[in-house]
Amino acid sequence: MARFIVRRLLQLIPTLFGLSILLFVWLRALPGGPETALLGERGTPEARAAIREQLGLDQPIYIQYIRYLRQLLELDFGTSTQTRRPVLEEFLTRFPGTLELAVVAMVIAIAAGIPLGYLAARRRGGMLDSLVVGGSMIGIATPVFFLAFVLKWIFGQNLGWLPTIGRQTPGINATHVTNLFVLDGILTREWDAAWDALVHLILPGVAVASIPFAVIVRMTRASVLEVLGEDYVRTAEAKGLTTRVIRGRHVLRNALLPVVTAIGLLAGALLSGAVLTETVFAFNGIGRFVYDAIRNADYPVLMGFISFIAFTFVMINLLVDISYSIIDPRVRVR
Amino acid sequence: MTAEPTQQDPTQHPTQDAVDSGASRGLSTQPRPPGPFGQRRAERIDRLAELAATPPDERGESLTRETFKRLRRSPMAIAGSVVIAIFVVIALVGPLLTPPPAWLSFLPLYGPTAEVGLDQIRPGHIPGNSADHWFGLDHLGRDVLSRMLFGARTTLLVGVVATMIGFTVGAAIGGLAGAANALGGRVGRWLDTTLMRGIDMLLAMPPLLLAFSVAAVLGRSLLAVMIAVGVAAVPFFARLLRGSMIAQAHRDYVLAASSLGVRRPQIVLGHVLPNSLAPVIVQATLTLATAIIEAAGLSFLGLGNPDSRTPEWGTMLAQAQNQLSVRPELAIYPAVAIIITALGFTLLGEAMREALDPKLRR
Amino acid sequence: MQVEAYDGPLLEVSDLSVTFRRRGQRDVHAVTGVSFTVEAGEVVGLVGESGCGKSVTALAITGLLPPRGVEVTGSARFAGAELLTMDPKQRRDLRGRDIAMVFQDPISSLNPVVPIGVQVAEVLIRHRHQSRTVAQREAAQLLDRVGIPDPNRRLKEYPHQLSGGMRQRALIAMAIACQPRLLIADEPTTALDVTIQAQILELLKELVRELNTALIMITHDLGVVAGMCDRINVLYAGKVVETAARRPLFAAPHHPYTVGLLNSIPRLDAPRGERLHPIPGSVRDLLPWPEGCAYAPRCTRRVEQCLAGTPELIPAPDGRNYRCVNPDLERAGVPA
Repeated sequence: MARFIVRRLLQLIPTLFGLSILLFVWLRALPGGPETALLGERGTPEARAAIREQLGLDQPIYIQYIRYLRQLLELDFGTSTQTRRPVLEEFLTRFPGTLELAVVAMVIAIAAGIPLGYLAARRRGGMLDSLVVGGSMIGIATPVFFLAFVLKWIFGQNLGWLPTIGRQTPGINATHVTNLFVLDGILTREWDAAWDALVHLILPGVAVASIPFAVIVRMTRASVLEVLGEDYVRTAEAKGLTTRVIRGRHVLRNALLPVVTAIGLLAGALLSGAVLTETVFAFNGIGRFVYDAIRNADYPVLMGFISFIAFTFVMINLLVDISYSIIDPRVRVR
Repeated sequence: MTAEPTQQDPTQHPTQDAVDSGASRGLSTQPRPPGPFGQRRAERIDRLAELAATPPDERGESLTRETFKRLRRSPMAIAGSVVIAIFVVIALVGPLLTPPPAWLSFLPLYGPTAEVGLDQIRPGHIPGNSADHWFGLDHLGRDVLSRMLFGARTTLLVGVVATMIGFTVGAAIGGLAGAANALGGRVGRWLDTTLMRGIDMLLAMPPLLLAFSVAAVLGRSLLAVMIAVGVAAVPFFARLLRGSMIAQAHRDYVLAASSLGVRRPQIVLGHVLPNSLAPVIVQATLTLATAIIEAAGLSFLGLGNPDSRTPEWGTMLAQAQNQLSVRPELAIYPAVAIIITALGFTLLGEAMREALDPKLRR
Repeated sequence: MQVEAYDGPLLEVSDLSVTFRRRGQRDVHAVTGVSFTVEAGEVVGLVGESGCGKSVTALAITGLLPPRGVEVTGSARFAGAELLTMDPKQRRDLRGRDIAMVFQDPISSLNPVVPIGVQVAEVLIRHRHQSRTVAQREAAQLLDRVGIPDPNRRLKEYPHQLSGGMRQRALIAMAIACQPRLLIADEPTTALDVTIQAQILELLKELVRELNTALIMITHDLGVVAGMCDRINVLYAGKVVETAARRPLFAAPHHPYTVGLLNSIPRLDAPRGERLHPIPGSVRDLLPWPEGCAYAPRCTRRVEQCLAGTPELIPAPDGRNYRCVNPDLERAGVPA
């Protein structure tokens, strides 16, 4: 297993290397040049000189690249032009919120997507199947931020069932340890605070979950349909096994392999979903910060975010690979 | 792994060689083992590519004809086509009616930028629909229906141009890689590997972010939106065409042609390439839908089309968020239009995919 | 089961018909009016080319056809109990315990992500209500019984780690786990190497004798049938065209299709240089039965009468039945 992980990590090096070059070129292609991008329009001449010095802009391009790589490895993404604080620091304070949101969204997408996909496949062509397929298509066709508005408008403002702003009700008695508010509430046994934070996650969670849900439900459906036609399912039926065993051990265990794979890919959809929804719900996470950064051309933050996405992708894909090799024996052998 | 040794594909992408034996020909029922970074998305794309390489039915009808026959019977395809047809008609006719010609002047339509109702706008009050303004007015007193009609063309244009950019660039890269792979040789394999490494890298980025990166460099303009959304679609097309070509290159007719002495380049250009295009066309249909949605997302991020003289649904939707508490309809009209249009393209694309996929037919 | 009191045939199939109905397409009559019986401990062959309905017959008997779009009529009585109208739950109890199946392609018939041991043991857990540990122990014995060396190690392995022959042995182990009274083997050797084929057939023969299990052998290969079946039913286009005990069938096939099948087997004792005799055409060149004999378009003994309507099954003095208006009687009486 260790060798497997190491090999996977090694395979990622060229990809990350290429991404770093892309980012490097991108920064230099921005209108106004890197110093404008990193400082914003209002940078003083002294500050611009300092940035030029820091990036080594008067030096040969390969030296610039090496400096840039070193900064990347030191996780030094510079200073946000909006808040004048280091980008890494900003990310670290905001990441827990987005992590909570992503986890809730993923739980919603999986908990709803897999059973519905399975049922749709089992009753192919039926009422439920049409609803599931149609619903998932509408889910994909709906701009995420619009869905966020609709949810906020209906369930928050009109019906008043759920909170629509922030991560927790202001003034609630809550101690923050990890900055994952739900977890904090559980750790400190402040159940009210945990519940309050969880309730705040529902609407943005549903909005972020829309695309992953649509993908998971359709992959599960297609995959179950394929597996149901397999000979080994017929063998299981011929053995007279109970429907429960056939469903779990013979159908789902095989059908979920490609779905697990898809879940790894959905990290990207989750993060773009967060960028498009957090603002709508005034949810203080990375997504909202990046939304503001885009609107204010805060390039250090954006550079940091892209690197962060790449890193997240690597980690999630590694996790998926490992879980895949656990459920699929054929991968393990090699 | 001993499952299907005869189907091992020796010219596979080297990063896949380690992990991708057995399942390489797609029709195998084995789930594909995972690979590094972005590759899984790649494999899903490859699956579609290989499907098109499935031999035609026993009846001997060509795949294209079979597919069309199946499409004509599919309610999904019919619904999708109807929606698309209506959308295209509106896109063609809409701008001619805003403002309407003299003989149609009884219609309550105006120029897209005419601030006809500016005097009725007060802070915190925007009038809703009336006999003069069927869809009401926006925050600058412009007629929403007129802007929607005019905007259909811009929206269609964004979708079509972005898809064409994605298609052309992606197909060029994918076609080059696929041809290099099919022609073989050390140089061919090297070229294929290098190109695909780059494409896999782009696949790892969420499309919206890729579009944003491009839009950031190009500045704010309608063209920038088209290019940005188009670039985000490039890796999908490249991956798909390459996979499709490689699957075709291993079909028997290629072997037959080359044993008859037809030159390799001629086989690749004359037979492999044309036969590989079906899944790419399916992807183009689906991309039209995502392009429209992504353009809306870019508008929401403030990177949309800045020119209010050419209204576009995504921009209208993004702008309406500021008037949400006053007039939510301003968001609902363009949003519903986007959803229905995107749904139309998705329906047709999925129906085409299903018609191509023998597994889903059962 | 309350079988002891019952002394009829173990399986009695009569007038079984299977029709596939699909929206927008013409109905497909896969099996029409098939009747045959299997006595306890008897080995019965169902023979015919692919597409003649032999597998569908087996699936219909065991209730494994898809629930929608299929119409099954007629009767199939197992130890006196009607299988076709039986409560699905009850039929599920029967499957794997009293009626077991072995399928054609051992790699696709085994679940790729579940260890062999679990796949064998689950039958015992289901029908014998054994605990996991007991079932695993018995699974090892079963693997040993079907000739898989080092069974304890194989238990933990996955199908892709086994060879083709071993996979088929594992499938057989699952089938005999509960010592069923009827085993249905659907082309059990078709996907295997020739040398392995013989071993698997030998194993099946041995097991059938040892466990006193009745066996329905489904195959397109009369050679397979020749070595083991007591009675043989030849199917063509969903109908039985000839049914006879082994000796008379091989000695004097009456139906031209049976003759054709026999002639198309390469024989070692034939003079060198003699050509094989394939049946011309394929199953697809068939007539719908109501318009005459479905085999007529390919038949060498075709006469005008063949197209006069569905030929009836004609009983012959040696206990056989054949469905032909112009049978090949010249070879009758010639020993095999």
